[in-house]
Amino acid sequence: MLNEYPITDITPESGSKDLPGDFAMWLFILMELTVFAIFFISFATTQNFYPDMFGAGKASLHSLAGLVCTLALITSSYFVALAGIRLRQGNQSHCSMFLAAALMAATVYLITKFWEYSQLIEAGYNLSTNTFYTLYFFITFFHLMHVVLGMVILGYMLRRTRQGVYKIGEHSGFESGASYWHMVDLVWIMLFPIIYVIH
Amino acid sequence: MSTLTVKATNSWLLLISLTFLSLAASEWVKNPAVMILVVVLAVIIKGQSIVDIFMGLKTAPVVWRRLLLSYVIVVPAIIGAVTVWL
Repeated sequence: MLNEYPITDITPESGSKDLPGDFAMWLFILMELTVFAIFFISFATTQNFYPDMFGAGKASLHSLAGLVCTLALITSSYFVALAGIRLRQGNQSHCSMFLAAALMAATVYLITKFWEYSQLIEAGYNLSTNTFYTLYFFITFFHLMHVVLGMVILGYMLRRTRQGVYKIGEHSGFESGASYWHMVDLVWIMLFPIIYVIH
Repeated sequence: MSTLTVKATNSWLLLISLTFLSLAASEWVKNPAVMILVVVLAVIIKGQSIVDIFMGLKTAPVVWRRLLLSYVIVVPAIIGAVTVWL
């Protein structure tokens, strides 16, 4: 009776596959998320000490620009997810197409963010204006640097895909890059409400 | 369209919808605590969707999924609590 249900038939609570991509990349992602968490909690805490300053600062931001950045990054992440699905199906041309689309969506984010920075700087706001702008420029620019690095990684993945380097079952490098890009998106979906939405 | 593609597309639509819901809540919900609660819940659901569907951790080792899901729950919850109560 004991052998009626072999131990191998017991399914774990949530799948049993390997971690997508390299283990080292996931450690890096955890470290990055921790750093951003400290920034976010610091921003929220400081906001409570200077509610008027932060209220005025947020009112000077372009919420439409924040929305466009959010939609661009979410869509870019979606395209990267689709690229990964196509790669696993062995369709490298569609994978390349979705990676290129992801890069275009990321470019929309970059253009919008630089436009917003230019508008704020033209209006006389900069890193040293007050605590709000110090935190705003520091956190958003730090995130932007991650977007730029992510775009470089996506570009490299696109090149490797076009070269046919990723074979079925051999795309750990692709998954690592994709996971990094999703992390950049994950950070932004927390950053967006903290800076643009909650007032 | 494959099941994975449908899941990714549904996840993308959910993320877009929750983004607009957050903005609508910030405009129309007058009670700050309720507004922050709606926004924080939206962020948690969005985070869970990215972790499970886009990152593909739903079928990854449980410890990694729990680690990432804890992050997307705990960090927005702390930010919401700090904003409302501190």
